[in-house]
Amino acid sequence: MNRMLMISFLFLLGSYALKAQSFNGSFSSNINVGTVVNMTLTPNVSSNITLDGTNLQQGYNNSAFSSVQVKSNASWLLNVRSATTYFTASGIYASPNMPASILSLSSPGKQVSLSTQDKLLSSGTRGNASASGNSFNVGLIANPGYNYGPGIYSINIIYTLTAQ
Amino acid sequence: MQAAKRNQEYKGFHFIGFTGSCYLRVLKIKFITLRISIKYFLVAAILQVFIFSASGQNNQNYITLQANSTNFTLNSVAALENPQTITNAFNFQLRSRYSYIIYARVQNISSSNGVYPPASLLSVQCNYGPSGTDYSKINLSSTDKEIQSGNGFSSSTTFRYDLILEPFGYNYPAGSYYYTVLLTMTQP
Repeated sequence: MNRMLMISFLFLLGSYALKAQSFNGSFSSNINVGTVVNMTLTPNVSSNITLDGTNLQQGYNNSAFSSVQVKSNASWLLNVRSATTYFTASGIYASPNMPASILSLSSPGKQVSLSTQDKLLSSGTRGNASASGNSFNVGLIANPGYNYGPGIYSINIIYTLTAQ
Repeated sequence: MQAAKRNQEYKGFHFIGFTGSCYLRVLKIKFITLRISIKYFLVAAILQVFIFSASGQNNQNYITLQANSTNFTLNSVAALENPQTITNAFNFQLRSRYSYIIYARVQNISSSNGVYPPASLLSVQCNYGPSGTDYSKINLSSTDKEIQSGNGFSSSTTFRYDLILEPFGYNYPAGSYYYTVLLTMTQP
């Protein structure tokens, strides 16, 4: 009898061991992330401006000329430059020699006059557009004075966003 | 898969050690009080061999995991801002004589740049399974989360899963991030 009890007990243990088990396996997932920088430039006012007498005397200044939103997974630099040294002039009295430097762009705490060389307008750290410093207004200052004749002047401004 | 197999073998052996010590203790008591003959030891030894062979995976209780394509490449704004899904990223064959629960968790995260995103960036979602399969998306974490359960199968059954990377965003720098996902089947 005792022998049967003993064997039954051992079988009981055995069946318990068979049931309470766990098995496992694993796999790896590699996430390869490249450097991504992105900028949205939104004009807040028309890029065509008319300078009246007051503007010629005091200059034109709009601190919210356009808005910039940066999204980047790296620290970033925003440079600006003009596409050409001089404005393209049209009109009988227009001067062909109005330089890009009569224009300046501003960002919070910074102002740069334009030339064909890149100039640092702003910088920031990684994050989306809601991250601190990644959304800001760009101001436009135009100060041609009385040195250039009346006419229509145009110039392209190039913004370049790079990862640091 | 080699690593996975080692884990399975380790778990089985660990359990055997425990049951073995139980036997010895039981046998010792019986030896003193009932003067058991050498036959008890023979019976115990036979049973020990029986249990040893059954405690690891066997042809009636196993889970075999197969990873097909589980890597993500994020090189654009769209890739960083939207969920990325790899269809049929992995599958597993399951056979269980008993009721079972399958758990999944992110076991380890490493990176090339010392920055460690959270485990919750990964989710899994079954796209193929037998009747009664849970097809909901399960967001992973560093602790076990139940992804399937059932009453057992008399034959091998396949589950296919999509692997989902939630929007990665801009808070983590460029680099390589390595996630190890652990699946565990238990028979409670």
